[in-house]
Amino acid sequence: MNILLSVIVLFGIFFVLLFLGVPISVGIVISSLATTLMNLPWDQVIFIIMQKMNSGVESFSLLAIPLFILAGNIMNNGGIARRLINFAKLIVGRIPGALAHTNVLGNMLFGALSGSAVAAAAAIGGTLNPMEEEEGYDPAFSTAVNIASAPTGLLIPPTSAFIVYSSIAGGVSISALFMAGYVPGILMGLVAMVIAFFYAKKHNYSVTEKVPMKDAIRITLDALPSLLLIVIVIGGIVGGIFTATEGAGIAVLYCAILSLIYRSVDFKTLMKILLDSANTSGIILFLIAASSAMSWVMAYTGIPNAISNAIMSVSDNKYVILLLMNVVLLIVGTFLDITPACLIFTPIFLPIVTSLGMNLVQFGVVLTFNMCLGTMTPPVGSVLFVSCGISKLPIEKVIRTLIPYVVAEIILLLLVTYIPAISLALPTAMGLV
Amino acid sequence: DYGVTNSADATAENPMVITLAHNLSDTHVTGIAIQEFADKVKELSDGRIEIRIFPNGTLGSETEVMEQLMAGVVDMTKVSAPGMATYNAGYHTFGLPYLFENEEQFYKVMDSQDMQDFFLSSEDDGFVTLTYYTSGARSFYTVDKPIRTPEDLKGLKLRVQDMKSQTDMVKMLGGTPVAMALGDVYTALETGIIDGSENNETAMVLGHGEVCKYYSVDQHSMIPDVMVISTSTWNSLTPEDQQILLQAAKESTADHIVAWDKEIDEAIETAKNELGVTFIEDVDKEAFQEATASMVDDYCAQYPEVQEVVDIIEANK
Amino acid sequence: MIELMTKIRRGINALLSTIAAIILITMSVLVIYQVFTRYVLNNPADFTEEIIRYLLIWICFIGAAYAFNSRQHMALLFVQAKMKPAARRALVIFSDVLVLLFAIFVMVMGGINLAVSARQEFSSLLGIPRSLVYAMAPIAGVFTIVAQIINLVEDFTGIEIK
Ligand code: NA
Ligand code: NA
Repeated sequence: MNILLSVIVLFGIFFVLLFLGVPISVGIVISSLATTLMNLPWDQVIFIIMQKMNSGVESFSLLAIPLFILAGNIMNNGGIARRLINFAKLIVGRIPGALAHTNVLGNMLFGALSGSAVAAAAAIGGTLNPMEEEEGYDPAFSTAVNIASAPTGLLIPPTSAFIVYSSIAGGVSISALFMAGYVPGILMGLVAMVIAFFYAKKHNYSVTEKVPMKDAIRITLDALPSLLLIVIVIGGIVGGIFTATEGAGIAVLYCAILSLIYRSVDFKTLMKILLDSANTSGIILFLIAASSAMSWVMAYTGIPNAISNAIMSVSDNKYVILLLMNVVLLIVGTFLDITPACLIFTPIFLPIVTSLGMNLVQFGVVLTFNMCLGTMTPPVGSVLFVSCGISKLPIEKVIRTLIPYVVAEIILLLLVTYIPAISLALPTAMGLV
Repeated sequence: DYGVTNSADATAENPMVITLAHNLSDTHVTGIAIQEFADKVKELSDGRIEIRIFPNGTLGSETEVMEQLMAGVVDMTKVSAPGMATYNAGYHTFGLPYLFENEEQFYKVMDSQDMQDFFLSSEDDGFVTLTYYTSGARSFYTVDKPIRTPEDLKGLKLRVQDMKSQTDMVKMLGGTPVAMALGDVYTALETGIIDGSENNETAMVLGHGEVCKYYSVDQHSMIPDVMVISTSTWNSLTPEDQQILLQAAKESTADHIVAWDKEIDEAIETAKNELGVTFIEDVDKEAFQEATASMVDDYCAQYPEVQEVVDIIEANK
Repeated sequence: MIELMTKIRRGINALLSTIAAIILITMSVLVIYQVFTRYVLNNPADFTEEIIRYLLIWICFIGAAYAFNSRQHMALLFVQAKMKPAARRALVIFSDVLVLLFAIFVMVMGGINLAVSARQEFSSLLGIPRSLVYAMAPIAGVFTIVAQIINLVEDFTGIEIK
């Protein structure tokens, strides 16, 4: 069978439809369908596409995705974000550019509770950016800081990116992935803080007033129940008390109870949260369904092996191949969202990664890190869009300020790629890998 | 491309390509046997028939691939025998407990002409079976509790294959069956979602022995794998080519038996010495047999096809 | 005409989003119940996983149909945005026709094909017919067809139907 032709048809049609503005999920299905039609008759093609679309989402572990979305939306509306911001300000408020650092830390804390970078960008950036403008911060600066740090939540667990990866990579331990994400995620936040620090110092940005001890204690106590969720969910998953999916269920329950106690969610808001979460879940699950049809087509036509052989033939140097994979993923990340990119490229890169002897947990982190960068970059970047939407700035205005952050984070990505210990030390110490 | 659609038209230059999907790795004993089957078919047909193998479940789970086979998307697959019961109720039989007293009896029955005839009898159901591959005897293994009598299973949550016969059996023995995919079992054992599982001895070296320290040799069932081909593909082969597939299948089964025994011996060795698994040999098998005896009768009453296969087994023991 | 379509669109939106939200609540409750039965009752529920797996399929297709009806599916629109109005309109129509064909041929016809082929299959624990599980795709396909027809009317008339 002519694999090259299959590759051209599959990706050719997919990218043409993508750029023409056809919904990504439909583009995935139609390109898969066209490729399969080269080998099988029509009725078998629609049968197999439908079968894979159904079975692609029929996985208990995928339930974690709608549940983390729901938990994130409850948090977003439930007064939890505000308490986290107050706590973050308490910790980093004495550093020049205090509110920007609060934004970074707030994003990291929010990310440690939810799996959504967009929710963090909206909840934390949405509260802090107006305050920063009042303090005289350059809006492009505060937006860039929000963009550069919101994706930390995709690496800091819990994160559905790792759950999707684990379900495709064939049972890579979710606990190990969760632990492996902490250090790279925190480093990503620190990189953003370091750059923000020098910028703020240069522009003489203020620090916040010293908080009296009494208030400090009150703010900490106030944030404690929210922070406790991190311990309960991650502790429960890693400690083997429940699975990641069940952990997501516990998170929903916990956030719901907390919001009830804070009395921040009324019935109308609750209905809105439920509808929003259900819709977002449907869209993402449908993308997963479509992508699993594409994975079948790729397996059937032998594309993953062909592509990995092609990459391996460019060089047999491990470092060059890893660099090549990062370049491909960074380009892909500019226009594809995390879930489809992860779904499409995991099966392609897995054979290479395995033959290089790279740990699959580390690769999961590298893949996700690339996708984090993808959410910040045009033409398609969910975090970029949301953050610019909040500060009402055109994308072009923010990009120039954003460049140093992206460059620094790409350097960090290379470190994570070439130094396994950054991701693997923590899970190894806990006996998970 | 996938070559000619009829084996009569096939030549070495333009062969007929038969697709075969299974969910084992190509280094698994049974995966190797399937590769051997493919090689033999190529050799015996002088390259006119090519079996293209998709291992590792890349095309889907056993159930999905069966659906694909019925729809004509793939031509052949290997499944656990009771999985075929959806299409031919007679295959429920292979999931029933204590049908065979020992391995010799099992091989004698499976290699008998009557069983071969049964294998080829399901053309109207959309498939025929070319051969079987043994999957050994299955026993319970648990994290920390030796099992000697059915009473020991009371209150234990045990993973079973997603088949009715398997959930029924564990219920009759007093345990709580939990059907889940093999890939989830390790985490489930580790997190205590289940207390144990049941499988042949290789499961211990494929990871579960790290968590489960007791393998209780109750040998409740011998569930073979079967290699099946869709009726439409089968009928697109000339009678001579059908014989070639059958011969290649039979030879691969014979070699597989030898390789399987070696694999089991090694698995037991590794489990005992490297993983510290205790093998409980003094299991009260009769008590297990008694507790599940009515199952065979129930299935026979419910499915006349099961009675027919049970008769074949009884006649060839 | 437009009023009728507005009514249909709102009706579909209300129906699908309500069903999706109910499924989401059900799944949340089931998974929490699963943990509860394991630790508190010490007698784990065995039926939750099977139901949840099927509900995931359902929420996937219902949510997808809802998102077609409300034009919320992820798409790359920056090329469209850079085009002149006439070209942009042509692209939108092209895209909506493609989704309509997808709904007719893949979701409805492929879905019926699949559901019929699985008529002999039942889940091992609860005996749920596999065809029932597979039925949601063609049902959602029908809603998507209606939604796309309305979308196309919107494209051709230039009147927003909300
Ligand atoms: Na997170
Ligand atoms: Na991007």
